[in-house]
Amino acid sequence: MENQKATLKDYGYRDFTTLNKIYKILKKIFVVAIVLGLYISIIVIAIQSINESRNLSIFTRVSFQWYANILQEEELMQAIRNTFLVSAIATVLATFLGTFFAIGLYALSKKVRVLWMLLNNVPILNADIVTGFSLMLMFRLLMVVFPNIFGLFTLVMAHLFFTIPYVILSVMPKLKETDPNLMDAAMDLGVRPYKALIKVVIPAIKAGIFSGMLLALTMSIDDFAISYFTTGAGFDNLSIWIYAVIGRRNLTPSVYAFSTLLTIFTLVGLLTYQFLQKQKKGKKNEKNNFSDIAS
Amino acid sequence: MENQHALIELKNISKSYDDELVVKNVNLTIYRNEFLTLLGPSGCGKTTILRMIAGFIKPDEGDIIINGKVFNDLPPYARPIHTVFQKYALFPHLNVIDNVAFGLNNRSWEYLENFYGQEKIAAEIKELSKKKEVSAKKAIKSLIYKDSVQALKLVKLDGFIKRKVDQLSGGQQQRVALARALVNKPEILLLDEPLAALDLKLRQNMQYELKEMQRTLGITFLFVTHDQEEAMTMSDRIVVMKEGVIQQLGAPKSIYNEPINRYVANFIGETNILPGRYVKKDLVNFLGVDFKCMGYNFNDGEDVDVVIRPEDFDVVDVEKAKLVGEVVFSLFKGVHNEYEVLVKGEKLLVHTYESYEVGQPIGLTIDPYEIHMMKVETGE
Amino acid sequence: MAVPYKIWLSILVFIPILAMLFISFSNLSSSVSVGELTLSLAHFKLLWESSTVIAFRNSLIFAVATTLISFVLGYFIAYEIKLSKFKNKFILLTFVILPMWSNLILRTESLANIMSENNILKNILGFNLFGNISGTWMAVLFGLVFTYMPFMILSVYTALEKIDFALEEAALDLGLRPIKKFWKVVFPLSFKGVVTGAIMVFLPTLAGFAIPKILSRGRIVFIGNIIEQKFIYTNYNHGALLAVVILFFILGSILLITKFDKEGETLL
Repeated sequence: MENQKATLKDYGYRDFTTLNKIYKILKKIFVVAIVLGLYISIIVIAIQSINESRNLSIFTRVSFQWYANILQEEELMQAIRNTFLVSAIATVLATFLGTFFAIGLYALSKKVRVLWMLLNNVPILNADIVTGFSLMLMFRLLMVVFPNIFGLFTLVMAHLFFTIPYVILSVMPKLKETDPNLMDAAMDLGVRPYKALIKVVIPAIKAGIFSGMLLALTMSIDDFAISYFTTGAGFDNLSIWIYAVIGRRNLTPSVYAFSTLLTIFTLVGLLTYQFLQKQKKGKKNEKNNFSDIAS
Repeated sequence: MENQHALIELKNISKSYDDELVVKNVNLTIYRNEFLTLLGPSGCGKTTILRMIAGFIKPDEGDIIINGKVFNDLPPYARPIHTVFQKYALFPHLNVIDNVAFGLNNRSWEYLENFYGQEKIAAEIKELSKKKEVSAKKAIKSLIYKDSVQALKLVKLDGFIKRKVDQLSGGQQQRVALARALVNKPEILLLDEPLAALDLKLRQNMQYELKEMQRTLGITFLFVTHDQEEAMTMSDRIVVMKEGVIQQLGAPKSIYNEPINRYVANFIGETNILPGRYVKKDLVNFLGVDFKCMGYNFNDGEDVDVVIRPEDFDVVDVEKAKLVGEVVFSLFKGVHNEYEVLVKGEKLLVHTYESYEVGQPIGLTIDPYEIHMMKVETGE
Repeated sequence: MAVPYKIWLSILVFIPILAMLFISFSNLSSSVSVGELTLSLAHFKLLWESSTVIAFRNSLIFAVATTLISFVLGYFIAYEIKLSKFKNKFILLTFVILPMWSNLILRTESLANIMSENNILKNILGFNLFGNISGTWMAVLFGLVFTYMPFMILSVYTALEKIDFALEEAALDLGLRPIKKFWKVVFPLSFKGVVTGAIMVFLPTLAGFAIPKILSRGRIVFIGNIIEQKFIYTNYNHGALLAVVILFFILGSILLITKFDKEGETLL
């Protein structure tokens, strides 16, 4: 006795399976279109980077000369050097200061801490242009005392201003997760408070410190607007330099080459990180299995 | 029970996950108006079967036949089946009454017209039209609201209509989940270990309430649990499962008194399993003593496993006893005393009201109809 | 240990803002000595100048349009990622974010290039992918949307991930088709993510100046561009005033959000 198949109609629903199939195909097309939109600019950058011609409108031949040429372009190298210099200094300082500030804030009572955390969010939420402009004004006021202030110093200060909050935001949750008794336990065992801090608390929150450092680095390297207003003495970072050169149509394709290299480097870095994470998980699982067998 | 009352038929159902067979060729018939429990430890396949009936999982092989129709490819929203989830799954962005009315509120108007029937809708229009003209749709909305309140009354939560879901306790949330499923008048209600997160007293109360509800409503309850006491309390029939295979299917009493194999015997309640020999008709020998037994038809001289429940031992004077042993361990369990009694090298579990001291000799007999025997399983 | 940070924050948060406010109201500039300082509302005339009003209007309209379009497209992508059978969602999200790691100015500039009459894609493909929209509002909109959409995608995806799958199963169990399930259960529960994403798109678009300038070849003026001009011509008083207005706008938006979401979850 063969039973009949139950249909959607029996239970009051219309059959949309064919419509669904069309819909699925449309969705896929739409996704591809959007992803293309996101990637079109860096695809073009990559194409320009292997274009032999300097002309941005015509593709002549595939050539990697612009990659080799990167080191030759003095202005580009200067801008790159400046960018990395500022970001390196700012990131290191921000990570260091941010971590200690976070620990300090964490030790405060809840009400006070919430207030200062709110204030901490201001640099993050504020628009770049407002931050940049207002910082610039403040530095100008200081120019009365320090006439040569604009340049590397102001740039680093400005970068510190908006990166430290990110570090604090990354470290805080980790601090909240740690056992409040950790410090006490260390001191109970005879370790001095300052050393206890370094040897006990810091390792416990190192994941937060690391992610905060990465965040600070990202925000600092790519910054345009804030740097635009707070730099001086011709100390341009990469973004500012490109922005200035754009009108002149003299942009050397080596910039594109450099950017493409950076993108590839980042991609490889992220994928490697993912891969390593998987390896770690795999090893952990193996360890667990062994302990099961052993017990 | 004849076939015409059969509501759900599982025919040769199999399901694998990652190359591991979780449900192995299961055949099961579930009838109307019964409380059936799938009982077994985690991983035995009971939840998988439940989810296949609900429609969240498709069986790899076999057919799920409900109301005479093959349901395998029918999506869950079309099935006349509703589920009470283990973690309740109440919608946090809706209050209690909106949660309960959710299913009905989102049905098409044709469905709802069918659901309530023209008469009821007309009657409701009449009742509401006292102040001004009321449309059929408004009447239906009103009926849904009334039904939802009624469902909450059924689960004793009618005072909580406008509450926010996160303000409810676990037990209250679970009852809302129950009301939410029942208000749709399903033919089958699936319950996936709904009482697992509740504390003991609450759980026991809910067990009685659920049983009563099923009796009152007359619909089929399909219950999944790993707690054998729970299964025994509520079910009309129990399906004992192990590793994807049905071990035994039957009423609580018969499973308890006549377990079909060691696994079931050990899983349900506490028990003593002893090696024995079926001497001849109505006579079995174990622990070196012949016992009168009844109701079994093994071959003469066949080896059997003898199953005796701890409470089936009668404690008598040592002189009149068939078995004499020494109490080696005693535990006061409130309802009874639990003793481990050493008889001819075997430790027996005995439940009795009388008090004995450790080291005391104790005499035991067993009534013939309380000796249960199972075929010896090879390779277990 | 928190004391130094308190000092730091106070200095760097309050003083610049105070400076900005002060300068908007005064006539302080390099050509004025301390003795000649006066406070006045003279600069406020700037706000009613037609160029300023137009710039404000542009910034607002583009910000709203960008946010709406990013919302629709971004939510779509975030939902597709959630539904995807691909096991490693992190990699998918990485691909969404990857373009953001390239220099923003460079990306925008290359967009401007392929939107002009003769460009490298036209050379390779034979036709002009974007028509000749360089300099028009379409170019600016495209650039803004596809620059900031990843923020919306990430924000929405985070909210979607938090939804307990059992809730979706419950909706299906109760008779809802997948589309209805989306509108009645998934979307309401993801709304906080939408709001967060919207802020992350709206504010930078409103206050931006680089992207509009590059893509419209200076034809479409945003309020940020005016501030940029003031900066270049060292007219800091006017620039400060406009920056203050933007600041108030930002504070207003944040206040609105906190009213809407009392738990304070949205922003972080």
